[in-house]
Amino acid sequence: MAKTFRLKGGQIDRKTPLNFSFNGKGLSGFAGDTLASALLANGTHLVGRSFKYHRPRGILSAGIEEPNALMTIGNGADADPNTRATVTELYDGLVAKSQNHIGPLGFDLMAVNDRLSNFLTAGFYYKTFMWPAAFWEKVYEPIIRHAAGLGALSGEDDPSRYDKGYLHCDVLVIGGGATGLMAALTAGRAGLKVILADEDFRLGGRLNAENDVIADQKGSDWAKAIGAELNAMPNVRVMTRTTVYGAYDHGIYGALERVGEHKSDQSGTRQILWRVYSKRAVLAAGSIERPIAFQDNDRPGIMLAGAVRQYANRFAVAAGENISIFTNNNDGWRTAHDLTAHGVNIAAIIDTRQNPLDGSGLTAPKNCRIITGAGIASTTGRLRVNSLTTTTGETIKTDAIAVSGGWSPTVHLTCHQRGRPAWRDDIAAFVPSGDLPQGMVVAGAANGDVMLSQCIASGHDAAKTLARDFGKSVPKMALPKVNDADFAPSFAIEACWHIPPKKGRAWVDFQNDVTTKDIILAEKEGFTAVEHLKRYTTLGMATDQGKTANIPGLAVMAEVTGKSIPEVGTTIFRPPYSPVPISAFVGRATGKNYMPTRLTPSHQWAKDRGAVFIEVGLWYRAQWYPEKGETHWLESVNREVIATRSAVGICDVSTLGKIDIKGRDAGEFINRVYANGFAKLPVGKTRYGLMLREDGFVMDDGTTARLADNHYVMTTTTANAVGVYRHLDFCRQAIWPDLDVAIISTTDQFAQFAVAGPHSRKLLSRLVDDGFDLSNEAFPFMAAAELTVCGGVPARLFRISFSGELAYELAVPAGYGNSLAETLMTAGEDLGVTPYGLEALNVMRIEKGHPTAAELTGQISAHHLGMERMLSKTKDFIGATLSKRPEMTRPDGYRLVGLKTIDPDAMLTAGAHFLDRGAATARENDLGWMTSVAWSPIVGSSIGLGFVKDGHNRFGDVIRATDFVRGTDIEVEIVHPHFVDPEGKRLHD
Amino acid sequence: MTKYRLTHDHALGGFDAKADGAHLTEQTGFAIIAVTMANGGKRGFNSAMKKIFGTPAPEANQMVIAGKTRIIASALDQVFVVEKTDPETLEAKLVKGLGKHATVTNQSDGWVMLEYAGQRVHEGMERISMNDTSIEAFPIGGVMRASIEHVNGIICREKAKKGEGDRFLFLTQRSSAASFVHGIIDTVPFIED
Amino acid sequence: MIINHPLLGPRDASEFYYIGDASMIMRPDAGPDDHSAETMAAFDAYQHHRDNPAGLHRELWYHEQGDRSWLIVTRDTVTHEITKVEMARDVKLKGGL
Repeated sequence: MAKTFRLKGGQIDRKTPLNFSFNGKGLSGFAGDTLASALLANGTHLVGRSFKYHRPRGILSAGIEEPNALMTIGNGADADPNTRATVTELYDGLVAKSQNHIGPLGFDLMAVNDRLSNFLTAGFYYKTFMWPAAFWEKVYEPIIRHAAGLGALSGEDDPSRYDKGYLHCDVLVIGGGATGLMAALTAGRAGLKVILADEDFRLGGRLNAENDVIADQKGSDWAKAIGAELNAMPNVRVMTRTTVYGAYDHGIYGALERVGEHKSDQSGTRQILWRVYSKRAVLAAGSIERPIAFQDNDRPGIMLAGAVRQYANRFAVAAGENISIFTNNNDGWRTAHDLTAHGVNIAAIIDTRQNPLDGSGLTAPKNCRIITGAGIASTTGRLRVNSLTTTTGETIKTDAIAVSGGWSPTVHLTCHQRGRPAWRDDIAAFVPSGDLPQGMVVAGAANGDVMLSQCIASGHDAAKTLARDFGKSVPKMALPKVNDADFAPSFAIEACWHIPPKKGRAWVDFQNDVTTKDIILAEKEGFTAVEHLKRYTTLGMATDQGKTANIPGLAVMAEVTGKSIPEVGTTIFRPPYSPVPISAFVGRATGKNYMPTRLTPSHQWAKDRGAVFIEVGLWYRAQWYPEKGETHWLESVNREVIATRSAVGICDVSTLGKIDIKGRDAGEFINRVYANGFAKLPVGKTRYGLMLREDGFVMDDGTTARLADNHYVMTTTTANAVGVYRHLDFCRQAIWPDLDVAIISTTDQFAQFAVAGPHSRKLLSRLVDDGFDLSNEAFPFMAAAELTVCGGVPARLFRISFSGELAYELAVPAGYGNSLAETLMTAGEDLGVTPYGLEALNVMRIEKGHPTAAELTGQISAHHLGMERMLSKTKDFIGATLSKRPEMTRPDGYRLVGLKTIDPDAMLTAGAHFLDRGAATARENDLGWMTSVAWSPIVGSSIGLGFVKDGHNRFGDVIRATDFVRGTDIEVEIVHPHFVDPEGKRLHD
Repeated sequence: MTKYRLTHDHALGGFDAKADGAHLTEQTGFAIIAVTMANGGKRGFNSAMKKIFGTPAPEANQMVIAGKTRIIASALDQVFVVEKTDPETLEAKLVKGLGKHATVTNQSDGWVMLEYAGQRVHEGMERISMNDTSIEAFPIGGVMRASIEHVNGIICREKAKKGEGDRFLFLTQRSSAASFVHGIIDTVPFIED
Repeated sequence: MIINHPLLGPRDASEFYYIGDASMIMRPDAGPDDHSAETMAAFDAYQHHRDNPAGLHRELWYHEQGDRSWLIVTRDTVTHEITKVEMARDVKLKGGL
């Protein structure tokens, strides 16, 4: 049986053993273990290789601050790289692999980097790999990329389910340790709506790691009891495994709940990303221990002192058999005491202070070697520390070193809105200061409290004060009895950040392999500002964001520059506090759920007919309707165009914006938003409308029909429907609020079909109810009416034509849309009725020279379109003034023209630029560009629309269309943009 | 007389999804008429509404029930009048009764109505609604128009039936209704977790 | 961010569409076929000249996902604190900014 380092006690469940594997080796632990505690229980300290130098690394901590024990958990698509073993809850069947080594963990081939350390110092990227310049992209970068990085992504889609949610509360308590538990309890008893979130799977924070006594109970038992009381309160929501990772504006917090990561069956929801809307928040996030740097302080077995006793007290694991303590403060001594109580031998306690025991209340464990006023000069043991030598020349055999450099309050969330913490010399730490995020107060160790009794009072007081903000009072409650002297008599610290190494290096940032040497080098090279120090050395830039490294790092910079620590200052903390997977931000919006879809009323009918769809914004529109035997889309589209122009075609145009405009001032309002005149539009007529932006450029075009005195219907292009509605609402509410006009979108209310072609009137006459006169005289081009069809279905009919044929658009309530499509097809069978899609629609409008989004780019004026006569001279309108700007109205400016190929087999491309024949292909000779192209089965060649400088004076000229993307250069003739029925006779048939 | 007749389809084909603790069901056969108050004419408008329904129009975030009719605040100065009846009849009744005090537009086909009710509905609402839909913050008769999984919708809180924890009514635009519905049933309690 | 809508109460900013400076409600007057330099200058200023304060800013938000009202929000661009929210049409009816 493998040797086990288990101790008695702890909060593990020995009745539930769990099997897991590490690098293929089968191991076991218990429910309640983390992966790290289980590895240590099995005597495994070597867990990875460092980022740059590939040095053997062991577990440093027992928390989220872990820089070394980064593993890949799971296989294949489930593989989760860079997972901290220290916060990975153990489950049965867990598969873990170490990262960042080529070859076995114990013999990493990349360790050669460690021998090149003189060249791989801070900023080496900026100094090496510079020459020859061409080598960077093809040679150096690929090598570096392959060698760099920690874990690897699987490259497969993430198979897990992620969800998102939104919570609302009066008070969000961030952290469920002693302070947070008291705050939540107090606020809960005051009747406030409370959310308590803790990143651990067990409430209690450090109470689970220490041997505190609260109310005559073990701290961890007290925490359990409070947790139970909180869970029973209907106004309190307890969320474990939940990290509050970001403090955003107005009391909004981001939280990540890891609901499914710890389950053997990973088929359920893995994580939930919560947005928490709080009125107040108590940050009770505790503090994180930092190490002291010394020569080769990164050996496996060298750990944080608080973590060593956490492994012993909570997980019943001994980090070694002969453990040394290295500390600059009283807290390190607790580890010595706790381990001794567990029966673990203490090799030595080395305290940098001269007289640490005087007046502290601390006592030394029996038979323990105490060395004061000294530090660690060096250590030995490549894959596991096996001895240390003090600065006083003493060598001590030891298999683990518990290091304590003091504790740093977890201030991060107080700084997410550019707050800066303040330095306190008495605890050698930064504490929250200045402007905190709205509604936030800080309590407990996060606020600089160092004694448990202080923390408990602080959590209670914070909640009591907050309760008053809600007009609530807390029912009388006695604080639980805490006699700090029983377990931690006092706290004192003398700052000591590093023992300068005689040879070799002392590590500050373990994850990014940044040493004190790098910080000194940065100062020499002028990068003394803390933000420069960070980026030049990469200190604090790894996935742990320097939780154990930032403050020691800036402290070393302070020493080297002769500044104080607060003068050097901290870098800006930004969310997330700890890593949040992108999958969690995505939630359920994966694959086809990435965006909502909008379906037309005849979607099912089109689908049943085998239509090919295309996404137009959120809409799905039929692009063409292939018939049996057709093998290429052009076949289908040509057929649809020919059928429409020679017989009759139908097209679902429901996606175009429809806005009903009503009210006493409806006509006046429309007259102000269109460039052309609408004041005299008679009832029963529709008119093309050109809508400008206030800057004079064309925003959109459409038609507006007057159905009654004060009832108009405006259409917009599909793409601009939302934007035009918003613009109209702005004009209505914010510019002319005195007008009595109402707008309402009826885009979804009506199914609207274009019925176009020589037989369109005949077809429609079969559907309209008796009494409606469809004759050319009674219902001429641009007429509009409300009527009924098919025995009483209320409908709207517009005689408008985008195709240029004799055409109508028929609108019925959307629920009839599917049926209308079927009915039109049935009723028009003998007429050769053909459904046509977006592609054919586009061919026909290009044949007629009608502009669409391809032409209305937002930089096009009415003049460019040849529509300058539509700019009314009898009224002010949106865009009127700025449309008169010289560049937009210059007579030789861009003009919309048609382009025809000289070679009948040449294929035009949109985006091609125009040049005169013989002109050098240079920007200064650019005459314009091709906006739309199509194969016209009517013309029998490729045709195009485009903007050409002074185009209206160049009809007949032959120029070149040069396409740099496709590499073509085609001769084209400038023609009028109306290729089919140029006089528009068919419209009036 | 034309021999052709059109059939009328439900937007979601009579959608009905059930989970342990919730159901989401399309409500069909309802008329939904948008009524927009004439600019600055609140007094005259409410007086006219009172004559027709016995109650003035609801405030911006509320719904009133007048017999078989629900009047739901749908947008600025606008309400939806919802009743299980023929849309044209209701529209004509409103046009006649409101006269110059309001403009009236049939929206019966443009909007889809759904019922969402059950013991575990509050769990689902937490996942889909950014706004606080707890009974304290959103009492019976409350209305909010907001975005549910990126699709716009109107939420009304109804009185829960016996055994139901909460009961909500949703109204959403027809063309994106399938996405709207998917956003709701793709999480708890329809997806058991 | 949370915008406290005058009629609907607090709503998440993501329900809104932001277009920028509130000065956009003060559209200058112009006559029909107005070619005067004064009018051109007025519209140029209206369309293009903006203060860009680090501090209190009055800005236009459209409650697109909510009640479709246009709001004028007074917001500190540095701290994001919102001190006032008004209906744009009320501001305009009272004479503007």
